[in-house]
Amino acid sequence: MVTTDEKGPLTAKKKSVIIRSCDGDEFLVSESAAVLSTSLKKILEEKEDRLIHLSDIDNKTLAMVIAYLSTHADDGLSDDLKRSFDQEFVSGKEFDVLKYLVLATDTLQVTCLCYTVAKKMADIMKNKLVEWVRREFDIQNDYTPEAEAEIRRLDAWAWDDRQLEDD
Amino acid sequence: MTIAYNDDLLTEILIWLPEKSLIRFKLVCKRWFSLISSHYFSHRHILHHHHRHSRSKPEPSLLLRLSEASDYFYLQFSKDGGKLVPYHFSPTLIEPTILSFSNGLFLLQCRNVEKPLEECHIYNPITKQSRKILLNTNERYRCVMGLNLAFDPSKSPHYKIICVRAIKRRSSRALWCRERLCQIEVYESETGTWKICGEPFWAPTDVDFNHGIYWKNGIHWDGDFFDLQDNFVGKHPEIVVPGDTRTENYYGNYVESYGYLHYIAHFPEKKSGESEEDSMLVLHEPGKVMAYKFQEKSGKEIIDFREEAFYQERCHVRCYFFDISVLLLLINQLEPLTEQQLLAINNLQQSSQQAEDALSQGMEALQQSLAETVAGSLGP
Repeated sequence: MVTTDEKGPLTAKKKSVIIRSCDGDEFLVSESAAVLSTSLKKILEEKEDRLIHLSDIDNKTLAMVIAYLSTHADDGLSDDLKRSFDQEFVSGKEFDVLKYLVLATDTLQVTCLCYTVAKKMADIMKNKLVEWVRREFDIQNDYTPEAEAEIRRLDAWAWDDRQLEDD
Repeated sequence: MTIAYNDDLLTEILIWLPEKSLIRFKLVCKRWFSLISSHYFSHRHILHHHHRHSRSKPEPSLLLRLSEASDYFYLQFSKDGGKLVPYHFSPTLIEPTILSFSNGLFLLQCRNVEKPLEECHIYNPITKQSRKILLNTNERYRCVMGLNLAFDPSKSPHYKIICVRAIKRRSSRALWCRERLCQIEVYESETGTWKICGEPFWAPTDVDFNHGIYWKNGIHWDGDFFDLQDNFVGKHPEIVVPGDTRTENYYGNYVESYGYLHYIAHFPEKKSGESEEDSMLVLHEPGKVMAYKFQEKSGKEIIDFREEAFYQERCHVRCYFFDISVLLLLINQLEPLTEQQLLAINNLQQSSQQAEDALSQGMEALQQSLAETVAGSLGP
């Protein structure tokens, strides 16, 4: 049963939104799912536009985020089921994919997904070499070799290269 | 747009990492170094992990010191054995000595030979942050016999320092040669004040009131304990160590491990015992560290540093063998917190605290545990 709304004709349209990725793909999303993203919620409150263009999220990443939002907007699913969906959602995903995802959650402000993805990323990172981290995050080493050696020396206890991975 | 230069997003990811990884990742670049070293980050990390550690065990770590004057070493464990790496204290601390440790926090004394002991330092080995604490001035009980730390983050974010003081010996009467009149003072970090606790008591001059073990709301020294709840000094039941203790020398000391207090009698040529299954006892023997698994009743050598240069240097002084003090500690990231953060921690802990009625069992449990330990130390 549709609840009556003062704005009348808008009610039916409000039920879904079209989101367009940076590479042009369009996704039809229920409004209840879209508003789980704080950014999308704000856009929807400000404009009556039902088409939202996201200039920095590609279609592959957007499809994943929308799958997540739709699952979490589904009132028919128990919290336990949603939790196991979250586990499934990040398991086996490449670090590269997670990087795009975490950026998308930042843009769209989906706190709970950001939390899940960040945790998974940390899990992958924790036993990696510093060189691996620099590569993955595209960071230039801005230390001099001397400074690097000194930092390593002062915290030598935390370094055990035998257990660290580079792939 | 990248993650690496988005501090907020980076914080969300790094907050999940264990302390060791964070310390390594300071080396990624200068920006990461300042992010990870920042107060904001370390406070958020504490709050985050406080919550999680209540459910999972933190990684145990070991710091060793080979003799009074030597440096401290950190023992790295891995499948293919152990390795000792030097541990560097914060450079602001001059010649620190660990007087006591409790669940990841250290109580340090910085050497100052000329003056009597007037201050100590609370130290976090991970963040290397410390706080100086001035000792009380007690005109009557002037000598500091020992300083001990009591800290259990699962119960309270506050720590206590237990200071045993004694009256300076003034007379040559026989009683004063053998015993000293002592008084206990307790510092509470919550209020930042020292309080005189319990009644004065006589203690033999040879009792070591440093290196007390904090367990069940009490500090335990060899043979004696101080109950922090009811403020009294008591004696442990006598421990009968199996084996011929008249002809064989052994070293006894207490160790707390996952809620049990153990007495370890270490015969240099034999293995000693602890009663808990599925646990590992890490022992030091002259020149090496041994891990002893109770369930398998087998010992495994973790590290042999007899060949190491630092060990060789001191080999000619025999007594150093037995000066090796093994510090069992759980490394947590903890440091004095602000009021607001304390409140947040308290809120997190309220639910878990309700389940903690262990304290009510008090000294009965001690007695039982000691009995079990004695029974358990009959292993090979």
